[in-house]
Amino acid sequence: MKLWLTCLLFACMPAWADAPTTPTDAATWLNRVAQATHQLTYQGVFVYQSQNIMAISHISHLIDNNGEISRLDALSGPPHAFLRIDGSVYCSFQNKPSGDIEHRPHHSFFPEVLPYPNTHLNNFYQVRSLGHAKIADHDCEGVLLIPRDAYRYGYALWADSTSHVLLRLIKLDAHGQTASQLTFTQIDIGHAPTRAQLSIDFNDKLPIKQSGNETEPKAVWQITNPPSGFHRVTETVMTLPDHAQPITHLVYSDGLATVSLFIERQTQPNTFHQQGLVQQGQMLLYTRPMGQYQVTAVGAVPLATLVLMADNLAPIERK
Amino acid sequence: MSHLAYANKPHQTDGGHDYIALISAGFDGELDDQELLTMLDRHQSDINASCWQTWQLIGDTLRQSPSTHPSQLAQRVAEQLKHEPTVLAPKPLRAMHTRHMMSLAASVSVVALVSWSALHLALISPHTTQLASSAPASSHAIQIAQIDPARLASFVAAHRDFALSADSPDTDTSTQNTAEPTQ
Repeated sequence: MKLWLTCLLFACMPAWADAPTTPTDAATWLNRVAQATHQLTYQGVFVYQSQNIMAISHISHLIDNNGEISRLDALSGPPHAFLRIDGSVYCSFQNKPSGDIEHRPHHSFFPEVLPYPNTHLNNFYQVRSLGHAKIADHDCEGVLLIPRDAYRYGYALWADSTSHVLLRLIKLDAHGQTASQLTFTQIDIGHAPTRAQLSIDFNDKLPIKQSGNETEPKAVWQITNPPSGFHRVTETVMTLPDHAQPITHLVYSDGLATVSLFIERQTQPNTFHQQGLVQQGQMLLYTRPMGQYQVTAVGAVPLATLVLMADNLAPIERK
Repeated sequence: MSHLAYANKPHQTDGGHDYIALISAGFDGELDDQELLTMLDRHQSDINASCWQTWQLIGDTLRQSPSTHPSQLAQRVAEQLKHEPTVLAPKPLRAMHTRHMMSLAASVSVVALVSWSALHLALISPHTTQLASSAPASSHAIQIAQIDPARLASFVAAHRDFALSADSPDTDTSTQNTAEPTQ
């Protein structure tokens, strides 16, 4: 009889191992993590790693009676810091940097990178529990987000099992391997400097603005048949450096994967009339002519996604 | 008292606990062939339906083979015992039984290990199969485009402003913009 029980135990092992612990619902778990990450106070050091690139930053996120304030200090590379208050982003340098700093007026600081609320992720990602892991001396629970189609890549996320603050985000590539990751090496949840301390060095700064003009016109463009789950986030018109003509910037996202489409009018025939692909790390750029416009789709997504979006771009017909 | 000693005792029909324990031991392979042969020979007529039902029901439950009705099973076993010669297989029954069980356990273990491996493979490589099976074929023969690096950098920087920040949070030497607006 002992042998039978032994066999029964063995037979039950896979089912027991695969038993859904927490979390089982992608949207619920992600909403909980996103909400905690937005609404709790914390400070810590995190590392960004992608192939041969590594950057170290310190993040402070404070919730007080006046609302939310975040400060990001670069601990590697040219010394500089970002401050975000009420959706506006400010930048400060200790010294004029030798390198360049990206313009990011909408810059979201890690770990505040998850959309909230988001109730549709279950339709596009299958969630699988990764169990528990120790990250920055915190017990974390992890999930794997497996894309349900070939129009997006997967993610692995770990959040503090008590506070649910996001502590690690891994972006996967087409082979399910790590493409890039952001992970805390130290975090103190519940504590952060005061608002005055965080605002120091920023008293004379103005919010970062996109170079040139950035306006949000009435929607002009649309993707008639986007990949499932991708919805319009914004459409702006801006002027980029070295670009003579205003450029329409159309953003689509499924909540995690994001695609930008840049639409430029050609001032002269065959100015940049071309079709092709450029890859920069995990980022792909697919460009094609469309009548008198040149369309460039950009995103860290599969090529099929960019091609489908760029090929289905069309002006919105007004009645 | 050893099983053999008990099996060699005079015929008992009282259905006591020792008698039931001996049958249980027979099912569990704890009797060698001589002991089992003796037990079957002495107690064949005493193995009543309820006793067979009880032990076979447990065995069937563990084997998850509920299709056989206990009473039918008892009848079938009784018939089998009635007509079956009391000559067992030439190999020692205990060794056969144990080997069979060990093989079964090993098979189950292998299945369990394969399941674990599959589980972990699925975790490590979650959507390779999906991509292989459902990736839409592009109708384009896409070539490498020649885009001005400054334009390219501007597009990437503008895109990153809205993208999930699993990219470099701060610096990118390919970008042309510098930002320090002051009053």
